[in-house]
Amino acid sequence: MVGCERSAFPAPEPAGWRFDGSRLRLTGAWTVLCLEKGRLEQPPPVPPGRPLVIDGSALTALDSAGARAIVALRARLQRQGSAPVRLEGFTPSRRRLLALVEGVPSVAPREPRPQWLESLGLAAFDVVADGLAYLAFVGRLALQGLGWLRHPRRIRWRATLAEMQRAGVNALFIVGLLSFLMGVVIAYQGGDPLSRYGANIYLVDLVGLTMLREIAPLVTAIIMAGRTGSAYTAEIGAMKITEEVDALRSLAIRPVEILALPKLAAMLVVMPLLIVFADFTGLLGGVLVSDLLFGVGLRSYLERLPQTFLMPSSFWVGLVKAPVFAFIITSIGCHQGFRVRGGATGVGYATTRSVVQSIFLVIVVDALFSILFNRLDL
Amino acid sequence: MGEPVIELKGIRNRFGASVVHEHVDLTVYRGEILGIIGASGSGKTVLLRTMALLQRPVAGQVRLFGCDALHLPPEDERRLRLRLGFMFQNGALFSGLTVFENVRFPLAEHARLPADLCREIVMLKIRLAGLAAEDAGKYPRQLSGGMVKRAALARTLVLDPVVLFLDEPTAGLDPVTAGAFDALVVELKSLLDLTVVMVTHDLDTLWRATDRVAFLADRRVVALAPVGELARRPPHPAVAAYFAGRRGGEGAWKPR
Ligand SMILES: Nc1ncnc2c1ncn2[C@@H]1O[C@H](COP(=O)(O)OP(=O)(O)OP(=O)(O)O)[C@@H](O)[C@H]1O
Ligand SMILES: [Mg+2]
Repeated sequence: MVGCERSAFPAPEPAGWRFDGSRLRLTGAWTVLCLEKGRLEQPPPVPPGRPLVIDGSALTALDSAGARAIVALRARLQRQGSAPVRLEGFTPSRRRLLALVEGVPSVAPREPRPQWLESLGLAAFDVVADGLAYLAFVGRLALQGLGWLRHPRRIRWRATLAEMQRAGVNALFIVGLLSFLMGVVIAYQGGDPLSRYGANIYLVDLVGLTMLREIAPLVTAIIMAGRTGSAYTAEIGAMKITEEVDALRSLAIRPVEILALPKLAAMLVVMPLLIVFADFTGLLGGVLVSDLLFGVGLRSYLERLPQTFLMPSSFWVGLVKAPVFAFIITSIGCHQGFRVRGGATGVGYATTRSVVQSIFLVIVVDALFSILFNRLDL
Repeated sequence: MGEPVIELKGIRNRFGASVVHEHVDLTVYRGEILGIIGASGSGKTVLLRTMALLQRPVAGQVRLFGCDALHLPPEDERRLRLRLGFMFQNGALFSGLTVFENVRFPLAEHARLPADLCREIVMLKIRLAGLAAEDAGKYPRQLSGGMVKRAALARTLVLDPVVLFLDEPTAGLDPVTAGAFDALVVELKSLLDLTVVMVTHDLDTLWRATDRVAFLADRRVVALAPVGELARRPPHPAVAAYFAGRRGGEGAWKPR
C-alpha cells in the first residue's frame, strides 16, 4: 500500500463552528479525540430571544462523545438565549445517535470524602484492628504449628524444603557479603582509637563482641525482612486478590497451614544457619582489616576468641535471637499478605507495611534482648 | 460488504511447542459483526488478541485499515490503537480505581475535554452499558460478575473505537441482560458505524447479533458463513457437532 508509508492515520480537523448570527455551523470532526477544551468552553454570543439553528451538515465525523457535546451545547445556548434551538442538517443515523445520548440521564455521583476527624479515627481504629488481627493470626499459626508437631505426617516437607531454598540458600551471598563489609567497617573504625592507646589486641574483643552479639543477627534479620518477608506478603497478597486463598478454603485446605506454616518452619531452620554464616563472614572481614592495618592477626583471634567469648558465649547470645526474629518476620509477612484488600495497590501497600513493621519489631525486640541479657549478666 | 478493515494472512501462533494457529486467513469487513466460535482452547482469544495487536504472531500478516499493522512507526501505532477497543474475557478492570475512574482513565489520558463534558461522557457510557449511577463509585471487587462485564464494556466504549473486540461479552449474564447487550451492540454498530469482532459461546447472541461466523478448529478457520447457513449445512464435522450438541442439550463435558 503506497499511502501507508507516510502518515497512515492523519489527525482530522478538530471540532469547531462558524457563527453567522442565526446559524451555528458545526465544522470538523466532533469525535472524542478532536473535541478541545478551549474551543468548547466559550460558546458564541447568542442574541437573546432569537431562534437559533445548529447546522450539522458540514460535520466530517460524529461519535457519541461529539453527540453528547452537541446536546450540551444546545442546552447551554437555550439557557443563554432563552429561545428554542433547533438541530438541522443531521442524517437520520446521526439524529438517532443524538437521541440516544440525550435519552440517557448522566448525573455524576458525588464522591463521599471523609472529614479529617473521621479519617483520623479510621486510621487509629485501623492500627488497633491490625494489632488485634495480628495476635489472632499468631494464635492460629501456633495452633496449626502444634498440629504439625503432634502429627508429623502432616508436615509438608516438599514445600518446606522449597522455602528453605528460597529464603536460605538463595540469600547466602547477600547476607555473607553485607556481614563481611560490616566486619570490615567495625575493625576499621575501632582500630584507630584502640591503636592510639596501644590496645590493638582488644580489636578481637570489639569485632567478636559486636559481630556475634548484635551485628550478624541484626543484619541477617533486616535482610530477611526486606528480601523474604516482603516476598511472602506479595505472594500471599496476590493470591488473596485473585481469590486463590478462597479457592483453597473451598477445597477444605487451610490457607494458613499450606501457605504460612512451611514458610515459618523453613525460616526457623534457616535463620540460625544464616546467622552463623554471617558470624563467620563478619569475623573474616574483621580479621582481614585488623591483620592488614593493625597487626592483629588470625592467631590472636584464635587465641582470644574462645576464652573471651565462649563462656558466657556471645555466640549463643546472638543465636538465641534467631528463632524470635524468624518468627517475627514470617508472621508479619504472612499476616500482611492475608490482610490484603482491594487490588494491585493493596499488595504494594501491604508489602511496605510488612517490611516496615518487621524491621521495627526486630529492632525493638533486639533492644529488649540487650536489657534482658544485661540483667542476666550474660 | 464494505472495504476490509482487518485482514489476517497466513497467521501462525505458537506457545512453546504447541501451535495454536496455522495458516489462518480471515478478513473482516467494515460495518459487520463477526462472531468467532469454536471449542474451548481452540484459540479464539488468541486470534482476537492477534487482531487487536496484543499478541504478535510468529508468522503472517495483520493488516488493519489497509496498513501492515505489525510494522508501524510508534505514533501511527498509537493512533491505530485508539481506534481499537478490546473487552477482555475477565474484564481486566484496574483494581485500584472505581468504575467511574476506570471508565474515565482512557479519556483523561488521551482526550482534552472540558471537565463537565468528560464527566457526562463517562456517566453516559456507564449508563449505556447498563450500570446504575450508584455503581459508578464502586471498586471492581464490589461488583458482581455481570457488572464487571458492563463496566469493562463502558471502558471499552469510552473512546468511541471504530473496531470493537469483545471476548465472551455475554458469558455469565442472565438471558434478559444478555439479550439487551446484544441489542446494544447492534444498535451501536449501526449508529456509530462500528465493526465488531466477538468471541462467544452464546448461541442466542450468534443468531441475534452476528452477520457472519468464523469457526475455529484444527488450528484453522474451518468455516466462515452466516450462522443460519452454518447450522443448516455444516461444512465440517466439528461444526455439525457444535450445533448438534447444543440443540440436543447434551452435556458440554466430554473427556478429551
Ligand atoms: N500465554 C499463553 N501461554 C501459553 N499457552 C497459551 C497462552 N495463551 C493461550 N495459550 C494456549 O492457546 C490455546 C488457545 O487458547 P485460547 O485462550 O485462545 O482459547 P479459547 O478458544 O479462547 O478458549 P475459551 O473458550 O476457553 O476461552 C490453549 O491451548 C492455551 O493453552
Ligand atoms: Mg477465550
